[in-house]
Amino acid sequence: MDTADASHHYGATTNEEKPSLLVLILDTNPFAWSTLSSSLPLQKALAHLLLFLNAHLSFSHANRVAVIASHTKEALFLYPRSHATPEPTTDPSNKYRLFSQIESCVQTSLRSLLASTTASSLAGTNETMMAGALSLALSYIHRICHVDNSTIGSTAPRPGEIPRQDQAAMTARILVISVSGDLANQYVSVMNSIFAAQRMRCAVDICKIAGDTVFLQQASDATGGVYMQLEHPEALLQYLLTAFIADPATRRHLVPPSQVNVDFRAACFCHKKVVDIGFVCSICLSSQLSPLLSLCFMLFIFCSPPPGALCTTCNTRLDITALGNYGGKPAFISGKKKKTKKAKKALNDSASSSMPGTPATAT
Amino acid sequence: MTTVRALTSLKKVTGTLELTGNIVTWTPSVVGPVAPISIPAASIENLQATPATSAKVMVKIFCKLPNTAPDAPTESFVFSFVSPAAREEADVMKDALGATIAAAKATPVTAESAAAAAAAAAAPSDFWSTSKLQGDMELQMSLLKADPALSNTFKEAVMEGPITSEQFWSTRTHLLRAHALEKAQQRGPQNVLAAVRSTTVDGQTRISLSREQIKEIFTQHPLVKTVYDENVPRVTEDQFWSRFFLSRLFKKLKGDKLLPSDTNDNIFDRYLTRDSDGTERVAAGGPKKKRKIEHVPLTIDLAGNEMDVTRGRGNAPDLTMRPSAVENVPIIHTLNSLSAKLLDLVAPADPTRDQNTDETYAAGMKLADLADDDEEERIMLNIQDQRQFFASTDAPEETRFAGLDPATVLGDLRSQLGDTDFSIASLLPAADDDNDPDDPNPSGSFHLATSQITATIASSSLLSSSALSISTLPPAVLTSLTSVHSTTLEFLHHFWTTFLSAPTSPTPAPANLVKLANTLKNCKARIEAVAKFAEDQRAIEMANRKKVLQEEYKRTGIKPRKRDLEVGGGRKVVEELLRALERAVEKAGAAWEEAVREEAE
Repeated sequence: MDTADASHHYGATTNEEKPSLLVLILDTNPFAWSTLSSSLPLQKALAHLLLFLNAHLSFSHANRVAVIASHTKEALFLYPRSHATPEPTTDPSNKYRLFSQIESCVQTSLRSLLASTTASSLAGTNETMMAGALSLALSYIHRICHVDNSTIGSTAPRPGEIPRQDQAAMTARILVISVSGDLANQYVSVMNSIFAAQRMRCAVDICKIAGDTVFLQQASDATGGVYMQLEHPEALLQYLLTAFIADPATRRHLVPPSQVNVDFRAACFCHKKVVDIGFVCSICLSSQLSPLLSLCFMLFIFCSPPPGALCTTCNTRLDITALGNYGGKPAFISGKKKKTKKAKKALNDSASSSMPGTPATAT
Repeated sequence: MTTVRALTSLKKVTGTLELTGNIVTWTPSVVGPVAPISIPAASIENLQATPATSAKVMVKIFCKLPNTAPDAPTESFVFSFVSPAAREEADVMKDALGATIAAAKATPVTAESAAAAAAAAAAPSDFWSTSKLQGDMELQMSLLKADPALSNTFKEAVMEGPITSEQFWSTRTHLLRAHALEKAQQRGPQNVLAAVRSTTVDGQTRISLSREQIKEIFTQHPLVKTVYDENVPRVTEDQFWSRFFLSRLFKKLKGDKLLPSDTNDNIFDRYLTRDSDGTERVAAGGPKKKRKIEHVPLTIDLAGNEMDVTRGRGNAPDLTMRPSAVENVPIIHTLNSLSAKLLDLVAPADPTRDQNTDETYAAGMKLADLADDDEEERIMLNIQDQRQFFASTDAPEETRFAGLDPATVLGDLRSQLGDTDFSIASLLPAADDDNDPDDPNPSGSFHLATSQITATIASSSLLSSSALSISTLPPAVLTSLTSVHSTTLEFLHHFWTTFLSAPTSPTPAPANLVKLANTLKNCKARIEAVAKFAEDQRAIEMANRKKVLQEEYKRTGIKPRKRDLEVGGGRKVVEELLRALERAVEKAGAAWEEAVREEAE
């Protein structure tokens, strides 16, 4: 029926090259960088990253970049700065102007960020504002790729509507340079950002230099990004230029160098055991993560109904009676022993008869 | 209407006793041996309960069910309360029941009318109700006929397996409902004259006309019926129709343009001036018979404000000052009247057509875009800290960064970055940093990094290629594979449903469950059979391929390449595809065996 109105050719996507936006999220946790100083000092990492950004910009005039710092207490843009950046005093004459602008801007803002960080504010914190940084990145992407487009004259998407990829003026991706782990406190907000990225069809690449976190692995898996745990952090540039340089349009034709091995088996949250049958609160899931529930692979699963029929997360009283006499073992009354025996006999028979047929794993 | 609910057991079957309004219902938690019970409060004759001191909490209801004969003996149901808070629940239920019965006894008339009202309210949705759909054998048969894959599963699971027809359909109510809806729809009438097609055989135009078509022509075009009635005894029927389809009248009724070259016909041309329903037109432009519509909603009634509407041209000056000759007007009239007639022939589909039509149209014309967004109805949740669930157990950050002084860390980083911009060129690896590129065993970090990336690419490309194996199976094998898969899943589904909600001891396990468990055992053999079938097919295919290639070799002298000899499919692919299924069957079997063993001890 969809083909009947002869409008399908309007929807046909043109295969023209779209410029690409790269948003780099740099985890600037000072403790983590300090432990890395022997293999990859911050300055060297920064040099590699800036070169990578220059490489991305050299692909096309229209390509753009943004750099966001995910610091211990805040997340903020390193480039572009909201207020007017002072022009670099010495503009090198033999360098592409945009390159030197970005380099100087990122370095200046990072220096001022570190200068404004006090030792007392660092004490006791070891986390990084990844959720905030992701949200900043996503809203920036939305502004650049979708809203700019709508001002030209096409209809702006209504709130809640998924912006279509083919209407976007640019393709976008997020690259997270992660050095610290443990994002447990930000679970809900990080997950929401991941789902938002998934809806925007924006790939989230993870370049994991140190630490370990499940969420970022899942972020790249859910959005079709690249996940790479660096075995040799000192060769950061090599990783960036081989694994992360391809833009979303090119990636469709490439085998992703992703090492995601997300465990898709359901494990309960209370004991971290892998379960066959889990219990999920019908209240907080349906309102917390919907309508993305169908895409969700991370549920609050418990291995037994919560005590007192109260959901441990949202405190909602659940109707356990709906379970009926679930979990009861079927039983045979003693008078029906014959049946039991018969069943057992049948079991044995069929077991022996199917023995030769068991799959030949030796093949 | 308040609802009181309690977990009870009736005749050792657990279920929910519910009092809603005037009706007491009891629904078993397992669909099976005991049917749900519904007792109107008016028919309850007596109520008994165990004293508060006794250990067992039971309520006995004596009632005369309304659909039994008046002289039938009083029935009684004993509900024992089984939940942990049985005593409290029983008291609440007893009080509520007492109050309801008293109210029902006081006003028996209203109780009956309430029940009748409830029945009436339920009636429209009753047609699609689950029980009705599942009982409709005819519907099920027609669905099976329409869906061969489903019919295959049905044959294997129900006709040859232990699953009952009710069980099979209980999981497929949505299919039945969709099918019932589909069947309920019917095609409306079409313009018959346009549908009659002529074929040319041996230079002669032939038109085949069925009885139904003639009947439809008569209903759609009463004029033709008039002509037929007045002429047919004189003209033979065959001749009548052959002349009709060549006549100008036919063209006019069909909505074609009349050309001067059209043949004249002395019978049919007489009727050209008549109105389409057979009445003689008085004069051109005379009063026409209007189509009767009982009620035109004011919002769409164009005639209602005719005096306010200028005729088409607005204020523009009429330049030609002549009546414009629009050629197509008669045709448009014909087509319009024909469409109107077709619409009249169809019974109105929506029963609510006459109710509040004005409001519906007005609502449809509202500019929804300008309205505010609806306020979202959210349910507030108190989300507690879930940190405990995600705390990584292996490497807590505290230990990783332990012993680091914030002040020194910060100072180090600041000094690393320096005060002024650094040149990135000076920090990039120089060419001589790394080892010799010709070195067969490079040890530089860049080489190691490259090898890590290439290794991951290799492993992920391996992963993506294995998914193609399903396409290597021949269609016959694929069909039997999908059939075995769906049937086994059907068995598994019913096995777990019955197994997990089977009544606990001392009630015996349903015989059905025993049967199901045995059938599951056979599933392995079936999977094996499919694997064997696939292997045989592969052998045949290989032999064929070899023969073809040898003939080709004899003919052309080109030696066949080894790649051409390779044949996909076979046992390996089938086993790979069904591995998960096999594991599931094994798991179910193990659970069953354990239950049997426990019982034997």
